[in-house]
Amino acid sequence: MAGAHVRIDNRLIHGQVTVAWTRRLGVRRLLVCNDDVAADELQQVLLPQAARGLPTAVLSVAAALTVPLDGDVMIIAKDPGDAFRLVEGGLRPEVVNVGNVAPRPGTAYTMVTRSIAVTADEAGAYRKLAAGVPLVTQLMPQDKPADFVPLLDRKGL
Amino acid sequence: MLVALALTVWAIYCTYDGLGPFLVYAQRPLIAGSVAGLITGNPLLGLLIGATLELAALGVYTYGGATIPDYQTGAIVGTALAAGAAGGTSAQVAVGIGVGLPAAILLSALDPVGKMVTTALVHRADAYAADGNARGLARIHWISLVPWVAVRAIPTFLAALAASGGLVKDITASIPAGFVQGMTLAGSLLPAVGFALLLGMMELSRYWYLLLIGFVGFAYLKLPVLGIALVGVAVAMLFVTLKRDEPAIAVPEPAEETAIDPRLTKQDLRRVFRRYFWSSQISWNYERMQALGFAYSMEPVLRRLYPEKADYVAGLQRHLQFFNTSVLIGGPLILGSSVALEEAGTPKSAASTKVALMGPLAGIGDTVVFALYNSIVFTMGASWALQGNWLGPAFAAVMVLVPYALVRRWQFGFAYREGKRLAGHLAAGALARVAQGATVLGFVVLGGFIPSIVKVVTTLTYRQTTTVQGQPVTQSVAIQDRLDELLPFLLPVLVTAGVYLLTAKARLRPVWVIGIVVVAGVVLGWLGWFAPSAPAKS
Repeated sequence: MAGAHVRIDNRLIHGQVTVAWTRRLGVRRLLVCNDDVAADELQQVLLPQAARGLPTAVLSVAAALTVPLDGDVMIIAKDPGDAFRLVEGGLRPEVVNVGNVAPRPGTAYTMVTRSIAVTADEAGAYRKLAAGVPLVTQLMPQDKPADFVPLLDRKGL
Repeated sequence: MLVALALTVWAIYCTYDGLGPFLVYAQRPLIAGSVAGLITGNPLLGLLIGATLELAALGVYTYGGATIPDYQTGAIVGTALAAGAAGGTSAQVAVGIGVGLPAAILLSALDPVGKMVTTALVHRADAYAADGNARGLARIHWISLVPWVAVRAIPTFLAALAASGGLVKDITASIPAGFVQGMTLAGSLLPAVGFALLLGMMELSRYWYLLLIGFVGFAYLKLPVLGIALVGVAVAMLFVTLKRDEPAIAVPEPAEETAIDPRLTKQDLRRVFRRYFWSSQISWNYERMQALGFAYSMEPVLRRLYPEKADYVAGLQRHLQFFNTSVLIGGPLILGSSVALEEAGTPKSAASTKVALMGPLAGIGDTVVFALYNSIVFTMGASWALQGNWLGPAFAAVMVLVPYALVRRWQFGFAYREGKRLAGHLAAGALARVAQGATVLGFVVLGGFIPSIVKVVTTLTYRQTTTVQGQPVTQSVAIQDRLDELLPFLLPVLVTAGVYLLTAKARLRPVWVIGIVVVAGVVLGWLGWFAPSAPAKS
């Protein structure tokens, strides 16, 4: 399995994804990959409606790994842990893009970029992920991708 | 000096309007520029410059904090400098666009500065929330407007002050006629950039044929833009109606209805809505985005529902968590459902419903609001404004003022009444249908707007020698006449297609594409090979 595009974005499907990224990557379907979201009936029905016509599946990590994931799918992982489990399960994306990770209630986080909050645990997950695939951050297609691990280093994470 | 101050006050209002109430969408260049024209005593300049920048700015929208050119300041500054420039109207407009466009692009560098200062402020708000200090929270919310305003109002003031001296007149006194001619052409080509960006955001490969309906309507049937929009509405209705026959989406059963004893008064609800309406995202920041505005809006309800301080503090903190969605379509629904769920004594589900809804509603709301409704209304307004008609900005202002005010009020009330059942209604697909109808309407209208607004003809001729009654006769033939026989409005279509390829296929940044179009326009217009419209036949 190679070629799928993976973005870590805990806002899941929103304007940046549907308007900018799907067009830029030329993908034909979206896959939201997170165990909690896959178990949430409401998000199951609402997320596909937000995808502006692109076929959208909402699956758990385990289920995602059982379907063929090729170059025409964009995978949206909710957190670095999901992305790591996908890679561990055999997915080989060309690059993993950390887009938006908003701070979550009750966590001690550091803003690594303007739109990415990282906790100490997550920093570990990002580093494990970066050992297997190139890890960058690129908010919008017109932005320059930046290597993610050096950004963690700079914030002492 | 007085004019510079008045323009600065206007810039402050424009910034506030675009973060809070969206009364007349004053941050859009059409409105910002038109009023700036009135202030400087040159209404026509404001109309023309605002409308040109408006069309160049179509398709450029901010999604979740991405920075875009500051067209509001560009339009105000451009109009102010144009008013002080030497020469006739066309020379002044050339100056206005020539200054306004680069100003918009350069000043976008200041936008992150404002948002970063606001990010620091939201941490103060956290501290106030922990103390249950509602006044402190409100103060931080409103103070957050200051950095947003400062990065726009200060450059406006400085530029307007510079424009009020005689210097601009001296500098612009020697503008060559060729440059004015070129800049005029560039101005009429710029809408192609806006249209290309819009097309890039829409599902062109799926709906391209709808462009033909609008194109035929304008190019062959000579329909005015309003006529094309009406055809678009009809086609969109047809699509949505036919779609109904598809199998319905399974709707999750709403949870058991518990009897709620209403603890909130009408006044509480009004207060919540009013706070959201007037100030929803004035404290927008990178870290928490619209969260502070949401917490501030919810505060009156939390105060009523939680007499115990600890519960009240927990409520404030709950609603200070990251929040971002479409303010005009989506936000009021979430607000109404949050109020209902808090009142029902289910704060946990208030928090989780908020998180579940904000992403999808942002996706749907952004489509309907930014990409489609606003684009259509402001393109129509700008096309009238380009003819020097005040109906343009007035139409656009009214068309956003009334519907958006009503639709926000309705959403809030609907979501509050429906409470837990709201999610089920949304899941049934009503909003997605609206978004699809709007997409269809957008395509039809764009098909008509492209040839009617991107104005370019060639003034080149070639010599043709024919034999008339045995005598060779040389006559010059206008190439444009030949092109018109082939396909009306061929050049505008080709220009827009070319710009679309640059943005969507060659993936050039919009700023580069704007640069290419302006340079090409100035050169080709200066050379006299192309013009916005055919020269009067002598």
